[in-house]
Amino acid sequence: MCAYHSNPTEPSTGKSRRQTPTSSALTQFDRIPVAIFAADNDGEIFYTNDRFLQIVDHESNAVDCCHGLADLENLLSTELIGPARQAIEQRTTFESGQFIFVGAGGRYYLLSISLSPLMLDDACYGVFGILQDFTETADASESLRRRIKELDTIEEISQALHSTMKTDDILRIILTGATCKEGLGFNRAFLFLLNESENCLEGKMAIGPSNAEEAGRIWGEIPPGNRTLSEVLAAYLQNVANHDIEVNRIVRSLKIDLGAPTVFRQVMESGHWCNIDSLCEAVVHDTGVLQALNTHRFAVVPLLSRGKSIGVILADNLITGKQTENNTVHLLQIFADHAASAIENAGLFEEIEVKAASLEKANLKLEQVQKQIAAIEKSSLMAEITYKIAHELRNPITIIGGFAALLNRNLNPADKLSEYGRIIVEETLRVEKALAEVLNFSKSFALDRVRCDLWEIVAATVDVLEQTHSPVTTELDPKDGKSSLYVRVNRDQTVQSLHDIIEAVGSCLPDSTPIRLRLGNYEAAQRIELHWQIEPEAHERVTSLLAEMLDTRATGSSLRLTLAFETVRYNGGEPGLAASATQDKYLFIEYPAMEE
Amino acid sequence: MNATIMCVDDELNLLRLYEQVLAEDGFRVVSARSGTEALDIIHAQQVDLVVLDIKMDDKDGLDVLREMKMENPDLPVILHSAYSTYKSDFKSWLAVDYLVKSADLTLLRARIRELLDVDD
Repeated sequence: MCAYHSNPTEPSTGKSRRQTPTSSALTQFDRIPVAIFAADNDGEIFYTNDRFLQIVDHESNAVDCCHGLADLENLLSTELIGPARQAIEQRTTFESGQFIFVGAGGRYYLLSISLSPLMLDDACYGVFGILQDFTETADASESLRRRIKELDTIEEISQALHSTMKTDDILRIILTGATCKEGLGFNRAFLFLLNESENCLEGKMAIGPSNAEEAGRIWGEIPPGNRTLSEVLAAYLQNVANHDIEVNRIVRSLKIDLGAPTVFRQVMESGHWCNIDSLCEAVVHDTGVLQALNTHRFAVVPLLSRGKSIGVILADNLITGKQTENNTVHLLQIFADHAASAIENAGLFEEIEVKAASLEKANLKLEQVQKQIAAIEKSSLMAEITYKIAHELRNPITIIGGFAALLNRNLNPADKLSEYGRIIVEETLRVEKALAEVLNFSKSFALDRVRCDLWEIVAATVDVLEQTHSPVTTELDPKDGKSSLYVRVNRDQTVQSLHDIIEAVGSCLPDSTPIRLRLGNYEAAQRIELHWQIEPEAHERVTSLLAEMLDTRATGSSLRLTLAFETVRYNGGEPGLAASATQDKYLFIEYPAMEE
Repeated sequence: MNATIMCVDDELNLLRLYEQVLAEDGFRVVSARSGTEALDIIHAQQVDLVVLDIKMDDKDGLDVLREMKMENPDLPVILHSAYSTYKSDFKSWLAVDYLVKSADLTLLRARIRELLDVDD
């Protein structure tokens, strides 16, 4: 075997050290980016190009000692002699698998070797070798794989973050994602949220061991196995949530004043992460918080939501002492951005939940009150009717009882008829007593009347008609109320009665005939007038229908309308029909006017 | 001469009861079935006491009372109503008494005798 590097004065250029018939042909490979070498039939390397020298390193001892294929075989630690011999003798080609070669300065190469016979005019002059370098391809591939894994991690954490709207769960997911092995792999993570009113960051939650012993316990509780990040998060959350770990207790007692120039303030204001990797730097930034957390090599990333910092995550590798790479911090930042948005969403969701609960409570209360009002109104109206009936009974009772007493007085007490007369008198007095009790009872149901503005009552009635999709359309004339028209009535009863009357009138009118509501003061009364415009031939029929309606005693029209008119009267009002200047009929309801 | 009592009520049978009972007590009884009729009678003849209903078809008893008092301020009027609620109406205060109708006419008769100063 011979030294293949026969001319060290031209190390950077591929050389043929011994002239062979193929030498001149090989020079064309001197500067190509693929490593080329050639050896003669005895295994002596007689040609190498620049790239070959770069990989094998011409300045090292390795190069000096590498004169033949056997030396190269030793240097690359891959089989060469056998395949070379086979290529020369059998005129075949050889291709090795990929192997790792440690070059100058400990640099790793991923290489493969191809050998083929060096032929010229059917004569074999040795072997031609190509050293293929896959290092960059492998690096790029590895980098891509890592990147994909990082993105997968972020996506999984992001999905986990969006699986809940509970702030506490979100905070736990954030910290778990930052610390678990399948996540970002920090040893510990601390979450601080902004308290705007006090201009400080408040420690909310932390995950991770405070010492190696606790690390062993916590990490040991996570069942091993090849699981997805989601599964890990679930297991981790379950285990960690069961322990009030030391760091959690510590962080909750911490407040960071944002008035002081610290790394936290810098991160909050700039919105950029910070990777502190030296004790000196940490000391400069220490506010006592770092002492409490026993850390001086850490990363701080802001939680940015809609361009505003709402807190920070501090993460470190206290237990393993592993250096935090900027890439990982950058990843933590991407993760923090998702986390901030999740925190913000959870906050909004909780706010909506509180408001929805309060709205639901208010609705329930309103429903109850409406039911109560309806019940009271019904009772009140029934009581009023009972009250009237009871009074109507008084006269006949008085007559029956009075005549019975008269009869009794004129009869012989020994007469059987006298006894009957006495019984009638007694029973009549009993009925009277019962009536008195009914009257006392029904009076207690009467609702107090209060001062109301008729405009407001009419507006509320129109509102009810609209909300109940009544087929009747109304127009307020004029549209805007002028001076208030005060009356003393029970508002809800009056709205209900007016509503029922308008609907009843509407039912007498041809379809889609709007009812104009006009309000005003008429002598000592406040008046609501219901006007309409219909064809002259329909006038008589409508007027007759309305007159019948008003005369409830005569026609026994619907109970609803009877009650409506009774309610008007009960509230001191009086309904009636009148004719306008154009002789058109209209309906009115008058209530005694009340001074302002 | 027996005192004349006018009973005013729109219930015919009630008037007949009053007539019978008060006649038995020795009074001369004049009946009116409406407020208007009552005022006509007041104008036409001497009446010593009036038993007056309040809720009547044509005219409110309290308005009738006011007109009677304008005509004859000394005329004693007993309001006799099925309703107790008018007691709080100041217009009813013009009456010498306010009695709620009852089958037991003892109280009414006693009050009439008292007002007309008639012994039992």
